[in-house]
Amino acid sequence: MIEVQIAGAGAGKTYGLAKTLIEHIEACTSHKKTFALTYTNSATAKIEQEIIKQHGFIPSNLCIQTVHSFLLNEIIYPFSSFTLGDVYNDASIMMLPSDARFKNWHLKRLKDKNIIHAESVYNIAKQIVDETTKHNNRAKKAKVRRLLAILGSCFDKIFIDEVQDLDKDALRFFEVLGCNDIDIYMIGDPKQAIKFPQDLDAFVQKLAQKKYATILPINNQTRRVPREILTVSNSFCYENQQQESLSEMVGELMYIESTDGRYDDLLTHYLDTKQLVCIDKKNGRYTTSSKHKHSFPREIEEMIRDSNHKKDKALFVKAAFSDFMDDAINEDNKKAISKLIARHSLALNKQHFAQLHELCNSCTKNDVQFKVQSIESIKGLDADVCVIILSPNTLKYLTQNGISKANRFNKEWKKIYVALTRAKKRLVLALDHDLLAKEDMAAVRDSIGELGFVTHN
Amino acid sequence: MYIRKVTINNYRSFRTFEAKLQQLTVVIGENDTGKTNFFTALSLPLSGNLIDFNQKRLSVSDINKDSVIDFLTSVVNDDTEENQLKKIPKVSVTVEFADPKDAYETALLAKWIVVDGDKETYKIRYDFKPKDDKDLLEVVKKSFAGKILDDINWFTLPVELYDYQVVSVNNEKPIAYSDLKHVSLHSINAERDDFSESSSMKSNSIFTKLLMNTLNDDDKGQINTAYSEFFSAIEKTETFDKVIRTNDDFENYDSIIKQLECTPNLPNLKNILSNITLKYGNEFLYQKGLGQRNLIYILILFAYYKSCGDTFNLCCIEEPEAHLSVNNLRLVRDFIEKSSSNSGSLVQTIISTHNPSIINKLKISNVLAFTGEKAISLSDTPTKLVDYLRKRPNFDILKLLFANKVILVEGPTEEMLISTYLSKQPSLNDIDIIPIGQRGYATFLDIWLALNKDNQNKKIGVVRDYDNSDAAKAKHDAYDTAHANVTVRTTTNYTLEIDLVEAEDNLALLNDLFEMEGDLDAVSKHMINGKTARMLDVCDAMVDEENPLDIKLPAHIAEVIEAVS
Repeated sequence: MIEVQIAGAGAGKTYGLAKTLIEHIEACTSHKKTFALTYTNSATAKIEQEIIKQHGFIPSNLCIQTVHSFLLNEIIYPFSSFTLGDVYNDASIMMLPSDARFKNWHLKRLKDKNIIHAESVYNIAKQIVDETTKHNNRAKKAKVRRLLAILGSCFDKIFIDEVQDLDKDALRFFEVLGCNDIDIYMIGDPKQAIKFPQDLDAFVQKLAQKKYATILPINNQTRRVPREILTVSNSFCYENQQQESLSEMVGELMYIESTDGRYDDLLTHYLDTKQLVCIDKKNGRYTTSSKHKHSFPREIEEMIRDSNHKKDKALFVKAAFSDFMDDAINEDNKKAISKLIARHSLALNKQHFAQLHELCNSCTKNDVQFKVQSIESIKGLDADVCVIILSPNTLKYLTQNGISKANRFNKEWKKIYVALTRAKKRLVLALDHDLLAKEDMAAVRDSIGELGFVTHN
Repeated sequence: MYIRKVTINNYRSFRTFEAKLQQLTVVIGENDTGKTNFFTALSLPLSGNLIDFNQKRLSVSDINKDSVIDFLTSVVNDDTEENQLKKIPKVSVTVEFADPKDAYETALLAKWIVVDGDKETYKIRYDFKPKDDKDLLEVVKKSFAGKILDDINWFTLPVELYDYQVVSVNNEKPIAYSDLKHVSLHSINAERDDFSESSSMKSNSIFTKLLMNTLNDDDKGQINTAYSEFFSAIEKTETFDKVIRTNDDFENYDSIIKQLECTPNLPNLKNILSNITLKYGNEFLYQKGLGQRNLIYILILFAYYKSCGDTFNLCCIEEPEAHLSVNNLRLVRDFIEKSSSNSGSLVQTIISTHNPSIINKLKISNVLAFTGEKAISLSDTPTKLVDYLRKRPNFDILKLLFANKVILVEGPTEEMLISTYLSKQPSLNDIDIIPIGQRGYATFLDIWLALNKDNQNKKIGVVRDYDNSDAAKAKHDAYDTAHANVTVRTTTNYTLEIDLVEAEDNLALLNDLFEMEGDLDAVSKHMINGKTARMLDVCDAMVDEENPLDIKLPAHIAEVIEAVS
């Protein structure tokens, strides 16, 4: 059985999910495990905190983890050899080249070492349980069905938060489980589907016709976002998903321009007071990436792991990576790499050098002025104030100026919805004239003025 | 669910070893065939009664000595590096679970699923191996440089470069303790005489665990209350004030002392319970005899298994017969039999024994016989033989399986005659005679062959009566033809007595003995009618001290003795 609950930004999803989880666990009498899955580690922590707040402790038969960790530890590691014949016992988050052919070459190398790349997790998980994919004969299909029966003995119910972050493979994975006697509860917001903008919508449409699925009435209330801000954000909602506010706060819509002497101070002030400051992607004075998003390329990692030291191997590699990233930030790429080689007496080939250079380039240099967050990374967060630094593209979508019908509800569109719905009180647009050099600023002022934004006081 | 198969590599006496287990397994074998090592090997991949993971770290003496010597030899002899790496001694113990009975058991095993042909099993493996093969090889090479094999002690293998892990076979990934704790092993080893000794108090620790598992919350609450009452009682005696008196010499002394108080040191319930000791009748258990203590140990242990409903328990008991009297032995035997069949499928039992009645009662088909090189499961033993042995618990099955030279005969007449003959020949007194008490030898030969087929040091002979059946003769002769260490001989006449009287001068000697003057027919009839009593007369006469009767053995018996000796 699959239940899908759609709820907009600020609807109190985490609170409600925690409540449902506790009720479920208290009523549950079997040995089977209940899972609560989220997309990020921080969201996992949020649910844990909420459960502890409401229940006092985390019940032993409740496993709260990220979708990736669940798929790896409960599905891929134990069962990929059973239905696919492939063995995986480790995962990598190394940077992959964007060129498809190189990428596949790297993935294959990893697979030969029984390592799965984080990017392949959804797809492999789906292949393991979906008999309509690779399993082309009766014996193989029978194995998949046997596996589903086994999983039915292990899992009681799976609750998934932020389901809009799943791609179609992951959604299909849970659909297969759902029509095989494992209860699935999904909650999410297709309006915030930045990573895979169309997948959840398509999935919900498909499920609406299935007997094994129930699409619950949409929750269009928001406790977070004040009415005044909804007037802007609702124009980014599907017709049946326009939100109503339960907030008693009076919302404020403001903008500040970089030509204003207070601009830098204001931005710094908001950053220092832990308000949300976000940008589409790093640009000019603004940077977003965090340094630990990646890891060493696998081969280099292995060289460091097995180099001459007597320390814990896993920790040693992590420390080496952290040192390397610090060097890359504080010095130039070449120096960082040569230090790494000297420290661990590595013998690298041409390709290794290229990989390390790419890794260095991915990290933030120290000369940027503002370390802000990407819109993607503030999903699920809120604060009293949210500042959006406008890029030309963000501006275009925000004012819905010349957006064709086909481009409505795409990635960019949904990012705007996410950014608009973070603030509990004040939403600030930051207009940096360097970023918007090609724009006619008077027209910009007019169009955001029309939306209700006034100069920052 | 149960552990169906165990595979051991390079552990102590086992180079490569495989054993099939059943829900109840009775391990038998001669001394020094690895029964105890087998039990300790099983504890490696499973979680145990001692949650002491240090037990899983082996020492160099736990690694099979031959494998170490092989490796060191290949290093000293400058073998190719590839071969040297291949020969690095690595200990592994794989256990294969099968047959989960319900959803719970399926959930316990699920992550270890492995496909074996079209069969599904669940495998985990204990490994003790170098953290890095090449590092180990390098260290060994360095320390042995320029040495010859005679200079090298096998126990110098640098075992500190080794590490252990328990992995799931399907992905070679270490198993988390939270998963492994659901499959555990508890064992009562042979050196258990300290079980209820006041110093070690193993009995108490098991009993404490049992109490923790079975007491409900109310009971636990009451114990806690009683415990604090115990302390208030102590407080009321004001012992404390009596011990630490006031002291006028120091100004602040009294005011400090006044603040002191006796209070329970807030132990958890388990600590409170562990202060309980077992009493039996009017005495502490540790004051009772070894037999009594053993009996209680086994009873408590099974009670404990039944109380752990959420984990799989492999229960290993070495020689339950130790120290037990006839009556207690029967009690334990029946108890093990009933407990292992009633405990549900989360309890699997392995016992080792040297006691025929335990083997026969717990079914020969549950037997796993250790020969020193391998373990042979007798699970295919025909039902007929299983039932026969259950009805004759005192049949000496161990003698049949393990004696070096053994002769099977039909009944007591043959046994007496042959034993008497052998007793007169000191060189032949290592032959065992077993009266089968029935005519069909085939099942006994089958089971003997299962163990001893390829072992030419073991010989078996069969002395049978013709009984006018050519078909039966042919069937038994086939064993003789097929196996060099099996000798089957049949009387030429209908039965033993006739062949005996017919042999050489026996007719005259027997006529003298029985004070008769009969012919072959008459004398043999006289013996047949007199059954064992007449044979006893003959045997007595054979060993008469002053004038022993020189009876010759019939040819078929002589041949059998000749063949086995």
